[in-house]
Order: sequence, then structure tokens, then C-alpha cells
Amino acid sequence: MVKFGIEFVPRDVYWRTVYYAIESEKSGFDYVWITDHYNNRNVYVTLTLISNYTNSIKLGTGVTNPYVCNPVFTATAIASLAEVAPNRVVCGIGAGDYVTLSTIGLKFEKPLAYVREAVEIIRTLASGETLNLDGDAFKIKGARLNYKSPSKIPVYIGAQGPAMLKLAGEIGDGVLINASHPKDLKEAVSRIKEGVFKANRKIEELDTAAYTSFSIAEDESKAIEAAIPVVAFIVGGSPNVVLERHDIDLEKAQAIKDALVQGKFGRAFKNVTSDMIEAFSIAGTPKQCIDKIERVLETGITQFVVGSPIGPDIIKSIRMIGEKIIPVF
Amino acid sequence: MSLNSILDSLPEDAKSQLFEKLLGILFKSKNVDKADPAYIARFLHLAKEGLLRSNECLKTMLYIAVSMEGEETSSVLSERAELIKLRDAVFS
Repeated sequence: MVKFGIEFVPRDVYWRTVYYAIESEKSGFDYVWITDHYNNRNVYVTLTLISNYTNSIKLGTGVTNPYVCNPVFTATAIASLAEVAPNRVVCGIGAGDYVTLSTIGLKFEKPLAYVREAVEIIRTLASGETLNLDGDAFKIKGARLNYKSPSKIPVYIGAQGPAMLKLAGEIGDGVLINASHPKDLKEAVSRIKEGVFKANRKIEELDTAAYTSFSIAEDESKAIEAAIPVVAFIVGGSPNVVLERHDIDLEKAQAIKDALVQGKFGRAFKNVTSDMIEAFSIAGTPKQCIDKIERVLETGITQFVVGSPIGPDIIKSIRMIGEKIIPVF
Repeated sequence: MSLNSILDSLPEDAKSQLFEKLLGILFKSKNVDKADPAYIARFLHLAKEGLLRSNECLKTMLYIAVSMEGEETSSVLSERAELIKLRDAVFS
């Protein structure tokens, strides 16, 4: 049976995100994923609070990265969180994004090495073992935590490009695929399977999650309107090969990229077309969303993550998903 | 009359409407710094326990809403005749 996850960006005051998580648990979601950006509320503070006000929903970073946050600290934080909420914690980690890293003076380099070694560091330290690592990204000499996680912490790798997807298949307990369309997800699952094959594993060992841009409302136009800003940023960050896969007009996509770089968000949003909405989000009425989720699940996805914007009214949308979407699956 | 007895006397549909309106104030107000953390903790605790529609939760939400958006809360409590007593008790 497919699992349902939901992503929150903790850009708002802490208790609102905690309340959304409470509503999500009561609506039947299995996972809550909290994004990790330096300019939003801290992911571990948010997850700890959520753990205090929920009973069973799994708690994940969605996702942290090894550049802003050294994986030794990630191991410390995630193992501490697991003490607070045993058997409920998962660690999502990816390479981060170039624009955010450059803003704070960090170089986006050797993403595969950084993520691969970070996963080793987090797993080893969180399990209470001593770590020596002479890696391409990290040098660790005899590091060990003074405690250990009381339960295994599954590590999910956030991935979009072919090499990172393959790495996720090779070493991840799960993978968070940044995509919403079956075409992209099918392609991603193929790459993950290459990694699975390389590591002599089985695909069933992985929780393969579609980390979608999702927007639901009874009124289709309102759902789409809420999705436009998120889709604009996805188009702005997508390479041409991805845009061409969906027959997106490259000139219009470039106009969005240029507008975003100049901080002209209104202009960027006006250039978002229905083709872009269709390619990079799941937006619409409950019935339309069900149809689209069914097509997503045909690609081999085992967890469906409802990502930003969720809907024009977050609380109403969470309840709507709990009443009209999750019971169908 | 105490807040509890006024809330007890409200019909369920009025309570339900009041809850949704207060939730709207709590989640749309920009005055988040005016919300008392102790009341917020109480609100979250009651939400966790599935007691959102309880008198205790409505009272807690009222306290938070008044501190964040006094005028709007007063206006919400003036929308239905059954809520007038509540408005008078809260703002007296």
C-alpha cells in the first residue's frame, strides 16, 4: 500500500507548522518532511516540536544538505531527535541547490562525494560507532558520539539528476525524487534501478518517494493559481533537457529564469503556462488529483509526498486530502 | 455568566462556525508576536488530544485571537446573536 507524506517549509512561526503536522497525522499521512534552509526556522527545532505534539507520524528532514550542515552535526541532531521520538525519525539528505549555497559563500562541489560520504558519516555516528574516513569531501579521525540513536534511522536521498538517482539506488534506504510527472518519475525509477543493480540490492528494499509540487482545491482555478509560483521556480531551476522532455517552450522558460534572477517575480509568474503546470505539478480538484496520483503510482512509486504549495488554504487542503484522497489508495 | 457556561449554551453549529473563524484569525494574522506561548502550547496540546471543538480549546483560541486581532475577533463574535454574550464576556 502506498504511503503518504507531506512537506512543510517552516517559513512561518513555529506553532503554525506544528499545527499543520497535527492535522496531517489526523488526516492519515504517514510522514511529515520539513525542509532545511538557512533562512527558515530550524528543521530540528521544528521536528522536535512536532514530535511532542504528534503520536506516530514519521519525522524527516526533507532535505538537509552536507554543505550548510556538516554531516557530523546532522548525525548529532538526528540521533538526538531519535531519542525524543524512537522509531519515527528518518533523515532526508541531498546536495542542496547552487543558488542558495552561493548566496552564503559555499561552493557546490563534488555533490556525489559529499552526499555519499555524508550518508556514511550519519549512519556510523548515529549508530554509536567510531568513524575514520579519509574521503574526497570529509576527513574524520576517530569521531564518535557519546550516545547513539535508540532505533535505526533510515536515510533518504533527495535526487533529481541521473547520477544522484543512481547513487540513491545504491546506498539509500529511500529516495525522494523531485518530480511530479509520470514521465520524469519513470525515468528516475530507471536510474534508481541501475544503482540498485550495481549494489546487488532489490528495489523493494527502498522506499521510492515522489516529492511532488501539489495543490488541491474544490475550485480547479484556485488550485492552479496557488501552484504557479512554485512551478515558476521549478521551471527556473530546470535544465533544458527536462523542459524539452515536456515540450516546454524554451523561450518562455528562459523569460521566467531571467525574471527570477532579476527578482521580478510577478513577471515570472505571468509567464507560467498550462503546459508548465501540467509538467511540474499535480494541481486540481480532488478527482483530478486522484487521476494524476494513480498515474504517478504506475511508475513504481511507494510514497507519495504532497509538497508545496499543498493548496490555496493549507489547513482545508490537508483535511481534503485526508477525506478524499488518502482513503482511495 | 462564565465563559464556560456561555459556551455550553451555544448550539453545535455556532461552535463549529466560531472554531473555523478563530482558526482563520490565528493562521492569517501577522501579529504572531502577540500570541502568548503558554496559550499556544495549550492550543497545540488540545489539538493533539483531538479536543479542538471543546470549550477549553475555544476559550484558548479566543484568548489568542483577542491578543492577535482584537477588533476582528470582536467582529466575529458580533456576527451571530448567540455569540453576543460571548463577545460581552470576553471584552468586558
